[in-house]
Amino acid sequence: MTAKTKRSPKIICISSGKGGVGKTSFSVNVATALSQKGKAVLLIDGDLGLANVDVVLGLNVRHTIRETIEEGRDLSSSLVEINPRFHVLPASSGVPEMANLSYEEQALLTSSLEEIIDRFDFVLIDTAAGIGDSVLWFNTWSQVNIVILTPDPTSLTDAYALIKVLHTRHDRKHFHLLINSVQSKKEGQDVFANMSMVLERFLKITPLTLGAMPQDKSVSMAIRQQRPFLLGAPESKASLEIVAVAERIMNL
Amino acid sequence: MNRKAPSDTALLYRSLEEQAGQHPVRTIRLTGKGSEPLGLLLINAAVSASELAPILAGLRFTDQTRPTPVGQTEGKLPDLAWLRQQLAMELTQVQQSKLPCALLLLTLSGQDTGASALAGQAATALTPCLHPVDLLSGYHKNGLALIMPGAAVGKARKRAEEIRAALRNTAFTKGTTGVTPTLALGIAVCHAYETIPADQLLTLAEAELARAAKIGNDAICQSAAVRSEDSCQVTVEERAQLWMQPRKAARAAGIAA
Repeated sequence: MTAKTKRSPKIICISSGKGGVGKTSFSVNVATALSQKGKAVLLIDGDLGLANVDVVLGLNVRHTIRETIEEGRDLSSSLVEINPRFHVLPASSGVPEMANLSYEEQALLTSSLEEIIDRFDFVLIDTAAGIGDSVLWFNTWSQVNIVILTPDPTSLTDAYALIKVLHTRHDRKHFHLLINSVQSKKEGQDVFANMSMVLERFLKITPLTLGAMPQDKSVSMAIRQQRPFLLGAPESKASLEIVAVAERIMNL
Repeated sequence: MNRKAPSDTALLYRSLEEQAGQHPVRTIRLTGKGSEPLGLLLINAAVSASELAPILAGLRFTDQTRPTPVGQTEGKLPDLAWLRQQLAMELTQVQQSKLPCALLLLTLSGQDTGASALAGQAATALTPCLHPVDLLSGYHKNGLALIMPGAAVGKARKRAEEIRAALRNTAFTKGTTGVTPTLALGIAVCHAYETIPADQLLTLAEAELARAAKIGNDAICQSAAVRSEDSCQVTVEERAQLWMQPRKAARAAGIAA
């Protein structure tokens, strides 16, 4: 790892409410883009019971966050280096008890994470879908909350529900929205405008936009190839947008 | 209203209290006036109160000694006054730790006499269901009160169900005769985003207990006020607004096609 010097990382939580809207693909690619821009990035798989980051990146994972929580293993031993500036902290899959951590486990994970994150410029957390305890906890632990949604009514409703819970119960006020799988730029703008209007009217929240990711075949192809689309198809529409989003994230 | 999530420090202190409950140590909370707990003292339980008093007197903090693990000492349950005192302390802690706190009241009825003996048997029977930070006391003559720090509505309800199952499997006796009392369990929860005084929480729990007793059949009831406060359900109006744009877009796409 090249990033040994102590840093003050920006901790960013990426959530969605609904599953299958592209959180993991977005997280992996934006982490890749940030690392390409010279930033030291840690991507934490926050879906502690049904992990996916390792799948999207085609990693063969030996140790996960689970070993730290259950056996007290040093968290840094679970880090996987994707490139010298991009590391992944994988989670376990098919372990339901990991999905809801107790207070003690949360405290242990927090202190363990705090020991390793100061080597990075950005810490991205790809959470599980839904509004489970771990999702809410990761969101409250983070400095920046990104919510991904698609134009589907189910995704809109679940994203809104997530924001409502985080705002009402956890005092979060600043949300960055990323509209995924849009057919046109205008569709992205319309979805964001509508969501903003509802958030302002009912929750008195003014969200910020991170952009709109276009529907792009290279995204699904890259997932099947277990490789970031930014590397597989760097000139694709999705890759150009993810680079722009990474730049916006750097300025947050 | 304070809707902030528990801080890492508060979580750590809570974790330490949980662990301390399994050891012969006395836990003292240093609360201060700020929004964060100042600290936690763990003192060997073998140190006597007279030895400890001058040391604590030297501290400039407001200290709150917390009994661990439960309120049951020498087989005798503490009374309602003790419950109120502990509840007040726990609700202060809710403000600082941002963790919720649940109060469970349960009564055993259906017997003419010997209610307090049944409550004592119930206290023994539910001991395996208790967590280290729980505080158990008597509640009038025929009941028990359990303070469950850290438990929100869902967790409190689940634990009440465990307790009910444990009590249903208990062979209660009155003298030499086996008896089967009817249970009633009432729950009220205090959240950090809207803390309430101890008396009010007790009143809420008592109302739920009365409701459960009326229903019969070992019912468990939880505070409706807390339940609605705990809900973040997306309303019909919110949904209508959220779906407005996709419908418009779908209609436009249909017309274009």
